[in-house]
Amino acid sequence: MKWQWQDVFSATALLFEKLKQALGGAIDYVSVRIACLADTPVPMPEILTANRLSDGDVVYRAASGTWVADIDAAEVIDDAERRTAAEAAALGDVSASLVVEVATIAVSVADGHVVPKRLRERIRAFGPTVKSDHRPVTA
Amino acid sequence: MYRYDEFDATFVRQRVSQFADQVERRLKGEITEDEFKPLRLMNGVYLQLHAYMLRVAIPYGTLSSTQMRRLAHIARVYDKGYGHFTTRQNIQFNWPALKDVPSILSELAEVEMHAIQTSGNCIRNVTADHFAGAAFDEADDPRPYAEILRQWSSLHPEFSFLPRKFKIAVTGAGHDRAAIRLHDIGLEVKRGKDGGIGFAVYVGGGQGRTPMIARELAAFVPEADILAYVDAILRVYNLFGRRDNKYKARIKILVHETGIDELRQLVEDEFRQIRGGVLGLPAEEVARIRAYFEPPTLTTRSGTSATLEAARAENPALDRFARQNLHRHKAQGHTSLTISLKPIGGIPGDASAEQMEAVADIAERWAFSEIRVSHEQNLILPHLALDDVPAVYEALAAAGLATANAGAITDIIACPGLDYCALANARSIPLASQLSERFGAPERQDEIGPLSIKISGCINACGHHHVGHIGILGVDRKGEEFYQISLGGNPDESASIGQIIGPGFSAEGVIDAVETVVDAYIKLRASPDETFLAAYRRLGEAPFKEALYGA
Ligand code: HEM
Ligand code: SF4
Repeated sequence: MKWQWQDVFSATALLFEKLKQALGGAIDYVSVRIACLADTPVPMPEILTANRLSDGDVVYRAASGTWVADIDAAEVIDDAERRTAAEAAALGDVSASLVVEVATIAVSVADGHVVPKRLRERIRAFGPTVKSDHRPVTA
Repeated sequence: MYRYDEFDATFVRQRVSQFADQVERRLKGEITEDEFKPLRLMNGVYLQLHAYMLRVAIPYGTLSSTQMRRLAHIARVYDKGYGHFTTRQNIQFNWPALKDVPSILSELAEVEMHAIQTSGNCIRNVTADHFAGAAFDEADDPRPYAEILRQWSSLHPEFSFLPRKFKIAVTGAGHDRAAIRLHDIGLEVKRGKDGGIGFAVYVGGGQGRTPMIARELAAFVPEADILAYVDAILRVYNLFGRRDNKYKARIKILVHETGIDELRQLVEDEFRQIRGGVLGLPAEEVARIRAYFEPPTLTTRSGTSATLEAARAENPALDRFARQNLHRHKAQGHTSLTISLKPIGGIPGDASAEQMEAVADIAERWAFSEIRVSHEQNLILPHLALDDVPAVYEALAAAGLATANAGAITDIIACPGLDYCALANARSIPLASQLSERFGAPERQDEIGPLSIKISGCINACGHHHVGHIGILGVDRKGEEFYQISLGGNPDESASIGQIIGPGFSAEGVIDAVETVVDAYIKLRASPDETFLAAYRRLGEAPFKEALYGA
């Protein structure tokens, strides 16, 4: 939950393959992975998201520690220490039965608008992309 | 129509009040999510991307007008005004709040509905041919047996914690409209030499990441023995099925790894021990259940309807509708009518509250208040007089429900995909909408003829892509949506799993790719009567591959 493990793994696996090719195959995976982990830039900036327990709605963690529906009001985090603190607080809110499914997600910020990097998270933020979600009843 | 007996009613009421209590404790923080999750799943409540989702069972897809009105009411009051009918003949609500679920469940219980056995490693809602009890070609109505299986399997202590979920489907006709060969157990009602009822038993079908066609385990099991026989299968599975790996835990893997002959031996051994015991099915019990499924009393009518013929001659749209959406009924002068939930460019399987109410009213006025949900995500009026088709058509058109495309290329099955589903890799519904628009012109659909497109947003295959004539599977390629096309899948008695035709396509490219396949078919077919599936089976994949990727 804290790491985007898939991202780390796919990046390191790729690097590893390249290195292995370059060195003719004679390298040790574990040490390479550790080296790569240290080098992999943490994807930043990030925000914290969850689903509210009572209604399941998608919510984001604001700097005040409250959970809000408006993604633009989310606290945009770009240092590791701050993130650790925010994640600990968020997990506290899971224990307090306020939210479920906490995740830290990568975003970009432009003109004051926060946009998640992954499509899945954009769909969570902005709703289904199906043609008309609140179908008007047309004859 | 089947009505709950007292046991069911009491049980469901108890379950609702238990769950209400559990929800309350969860909301107060007295139980954790880890403790609560299995409880909510047992009551049909999932957490998706945007909200909770409630899956409501519609046993063998049969609904009354009263029940449909209640679903409409729930859609309006607790959801965003619509519901989504699924390939498991169920309905899903995509937006209920957890705190409202107990109220929803008690409203459902009032009309004898619930969400039990819609989730978890139990025997799931038993599905059946949507034309059951009405189709001209059936040996008998499969639903009494689906119901007997339901009663036997409901909360069966021995089978509530199976290695994996377990799905059973029953058809009454040789022409399989219930995809029984894609279920863990598939049953076909048959008549023996003496006219007595029995069942062909298929086992080990399934979709998901390892699609397999079921194998025939027994050609004819007499009615009296069927419960014991199915029980024997479950026992063997429960004993030998793999629990070490959830992807290998379905009975299809057992069939594959053990071999059908050895499995048959194991089942027969087990069967010999329990046969004739408490699981015998006395004729009186069958008769009692069958009475619930008595068909409505239909007026004797002549085989053709002058009223309908005259209306068809006058109205080309009705003519097209009647050609496409009517299915031959047992009783002459009657028909089963498909109400397509696939408007051109729309969302497969969605119906608004108003549309559900319109269907309930139409069924009440003209069709004995009986409605079916098909695994193709459409609704059916199983018993309708041909004379009433023009009036029903007008009423459907007024509700935006007169799309004439049952079985046509725009009758697309699609799972919720990345727009709703937490497990998805890629979106399904927008693809379905675009394909439906691409092929939506009536002349184009008529030119193409029967062709099914089925779309899943991940390998779980909720959208049946393995058995689409053209199947589309969404995958994730480096964070981008990507789609694999497979050809030649088919769910009926000549079931086959589609073969991936080659490298996948981007979301933009896949629509054109499907059209390329369709155009290749039209060019290659022996005559306009040769369907896509027939042409593909005759020609193999090569010419389609060439059309898509060049020589
Ligand atoms: C959106 C919430 C849903 C979730 C989380 C979900 C989850 C799953 C999973 C995990 C499987 C694979 C099970 C296995 O291979 O053992 C599966 C299979 C399936 N689901 Fe869903 N599903 C969802 C919605 C639907 C819908 C809307 C439909 C109908 C349109 C559906 C129909 C099916 C079917 C037919 C299968 C194939 C079963 C087989 O392997 O034979 N599901 N689902
Ligand atoms: S096939 Fe995958 S994406 Fe589609 S509903 Fe099933 S689990 Fe979700």
